[in-house]
Amino acid sequence: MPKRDFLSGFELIVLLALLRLREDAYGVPIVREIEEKTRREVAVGSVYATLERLEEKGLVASVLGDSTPERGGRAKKYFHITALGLRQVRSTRRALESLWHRLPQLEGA
Amino acid sequence: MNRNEPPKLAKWVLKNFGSANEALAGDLIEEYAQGRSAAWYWRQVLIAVLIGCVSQVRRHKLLTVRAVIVGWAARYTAWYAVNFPVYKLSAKVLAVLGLHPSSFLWRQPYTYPLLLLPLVDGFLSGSLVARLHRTHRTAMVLAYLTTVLLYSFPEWLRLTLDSFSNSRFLPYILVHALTYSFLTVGILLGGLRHSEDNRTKSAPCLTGLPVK
Repeated sequence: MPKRDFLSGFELIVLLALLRLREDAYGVPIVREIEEKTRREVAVGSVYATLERLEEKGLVASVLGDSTPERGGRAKKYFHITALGLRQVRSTRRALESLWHRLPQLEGA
Repeated sequence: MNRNEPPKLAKWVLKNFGSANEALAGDLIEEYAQGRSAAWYWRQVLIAVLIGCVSQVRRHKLLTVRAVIVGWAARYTAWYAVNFPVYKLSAKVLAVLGLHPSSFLWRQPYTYPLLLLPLVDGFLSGSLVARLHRTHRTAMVLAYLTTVLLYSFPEWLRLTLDSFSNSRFLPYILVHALTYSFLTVGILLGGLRHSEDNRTKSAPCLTGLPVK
């Protein structure tokens, strides 16, 4: 069986947030999207640490945007998922769906 | 209060202890301007600093071990080269003045200045760790500081347990607290001695922005 790196729970959440946000995926909307969907406060630092890890694995790419006075003159960093990242998300989804399939404890939730 | 400006001290902490992530700093400012609380901003800053340091320690394990060894070696060298001679000299001076050089520092107020001496070996050791590990200065200094504080933990535990049985040990806890407080401040001051210019010049790739 070929060796694979599996996505951690939070890595998957971050990648799904990127997919939902499409071109507008920088720190603030990514954090807000995750908080809205998980209903938990998220640390911006942990999102960036995860994105950095994903970028090293080639699952995500980034590009710097314009700086604005509202951000203290600091540029936004936009992230998007790569083709490899998308394949990894699909692969993780298949694995999770097969594990979740017909679990009596989760039926009727 | 200007809603666009986050708490100044928190900004300063992020700037000096953070991992030079300009995009993260900008996000925090933007979120704060949109209504997040000062407490939220502080939490995010502290978590960002912690995550940045842990990440750097994980990526550079050998460097961290080296930083800790350098710090401890510098601290002991500074203690024998500076602190110990000062203690000896102060005992002689007190003897000449006819004052009793008590080894229990809290008993005589004229020995109180000696409590500041841990600032010296802390400052020198923190400074050397920062100087030899400029690119990962914050993480290495904090890793060294963590080992210093962990080393003090058994003594804290012993003094605390002793003081439950006998309150005469309480001054020992106070002296221990002051010693390690000054040592911590010294290490942090020594570690911060190198300016922000050195940090951004050494790692412009982290920001992706042109170096001014």
